[in-house]
Amino acid sequence: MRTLAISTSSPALSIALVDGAAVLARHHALIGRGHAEALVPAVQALLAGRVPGRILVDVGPGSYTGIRIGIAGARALGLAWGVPVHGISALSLVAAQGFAADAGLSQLWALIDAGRGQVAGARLGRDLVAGGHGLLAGPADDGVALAGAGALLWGRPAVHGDHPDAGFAGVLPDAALLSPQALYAGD
Amino acid sequence: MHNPLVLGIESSCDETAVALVRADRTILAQRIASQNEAHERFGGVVPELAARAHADRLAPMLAEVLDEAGVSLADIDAIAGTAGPGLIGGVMVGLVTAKALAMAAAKPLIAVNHLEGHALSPRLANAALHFPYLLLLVSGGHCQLLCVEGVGRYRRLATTIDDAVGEAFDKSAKLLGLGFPGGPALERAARAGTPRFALPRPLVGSDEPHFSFAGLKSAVLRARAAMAAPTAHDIADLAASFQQAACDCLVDRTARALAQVPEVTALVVAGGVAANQSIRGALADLAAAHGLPFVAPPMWLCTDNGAMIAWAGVERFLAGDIDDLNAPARPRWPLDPAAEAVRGAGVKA
Repeated sequence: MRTLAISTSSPALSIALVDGAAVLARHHALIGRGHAEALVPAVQALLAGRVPGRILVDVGPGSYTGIRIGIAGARALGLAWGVPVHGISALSLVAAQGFAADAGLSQLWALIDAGRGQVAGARLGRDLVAGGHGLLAGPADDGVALAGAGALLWGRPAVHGDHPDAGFAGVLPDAALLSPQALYAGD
Repeated sequence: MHNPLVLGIESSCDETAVALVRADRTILAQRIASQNEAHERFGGVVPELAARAHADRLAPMLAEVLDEAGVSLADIDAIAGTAGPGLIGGVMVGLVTAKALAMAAAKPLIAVNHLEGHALSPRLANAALHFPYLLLLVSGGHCQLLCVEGVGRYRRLATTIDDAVGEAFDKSAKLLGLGFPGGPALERAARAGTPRFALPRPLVGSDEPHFSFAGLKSAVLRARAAMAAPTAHDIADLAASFQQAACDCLVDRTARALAQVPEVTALVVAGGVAANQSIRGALADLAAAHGLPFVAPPMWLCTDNGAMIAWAGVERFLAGDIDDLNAPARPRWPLDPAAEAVRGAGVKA
């Protein structure tokens, strides 16, 4: 099924039209701020008239403001098109990016930059299900590889140091889907 | 297309609101959800909590309103959303929602100035109200006198140099332990009181056109602190004294503005504080003394709502004034960009 994926939980504006693992179109730009202005025009340009069968939206953890922009946009698009909207964890995306970068891993720490120098994350397996989410005091030093922009804040080597990338949403299994409700890491 | 239908979305403070309004002034359906219970224990609106509540409530509310009206997005001529001024987290939620609906349904977007919503809302309630009119816009965030010359043409005659009048009501209510939201609580208390406290009327009689309420609020604080064990009577009297002083300030400043704009066809009040009966009464008397009709929208239309945003959308749509999908969310957005900044604050608009 053609899926529109939206991630605005980080400084990146990341959107993609995917079908399973196939990426039909992708726009990923580090914009810092301004998601509220840029998101909808970017989706319009990306889709070029195509209507997806469902929408997956990054519900965090990450920037509270960014998360809400993504969810508000996704839910409104879902309402207008009459298609289902599911949430996905930013950590599931970061993990999928990590496993794609190193096929030999069976687990990794998916870590995001939670702002104010804080890192949020969780340890995920290849099922990409993020069981919990929370702010982390520091690396666990359990020998499990690190992935995501949060790892860079700790100055640790990582499988990748990227923000969540919507282009990876298509590989998430149904078990990793959430309701389209914000995950606030600091709560 | 002779009777356009516009969807309006409001989320700039602590009300999440959606409405469907036609150009013939029919309100097909509307919802307003206040967040009072979320903010009550803090004694004021907490921006992060407000943004969260908007994000949770807006999408289901849209579906309800469309369902109740029995229309689909295809039946709508334009999508109007508040783009500011206000608490930016909430503004973004509403504006992105409006943009996404407009894009997906291929309808024009109208990014509405919240103050324009208030300024034009009296025309939703009253078809006989014509431009130009003098508008006293009084709310928790704003206190302005505007000459409304036409859609998109607002000349600011006065604004506050410190607090908005609604802010003074809310903070005085908090000082007096009257609860939240403070404005209505203070008005209720004042009903049982007599204005026996001598409180200042800042800028009354001044050549300067503007408002000031910070000194009045401080005087309430001092009067309250001077009483060791005030009775409910004392509190009611102090509330009544504050309300009378605030009312006198509004009337004096409005009278001064009326003298500057003899061309106006009516005196109009809008904004949350326009729900105050004493203020309405005093302004009605002022209008009558000037031989002008007095127009005050119904109470529900004075406080924040979706219908006023939809109506501003109708007026702008009919004027051919629409926005593109890049329209910014603006925490500050003066209605009259040519108005000079005033000393003190005047920052809100």
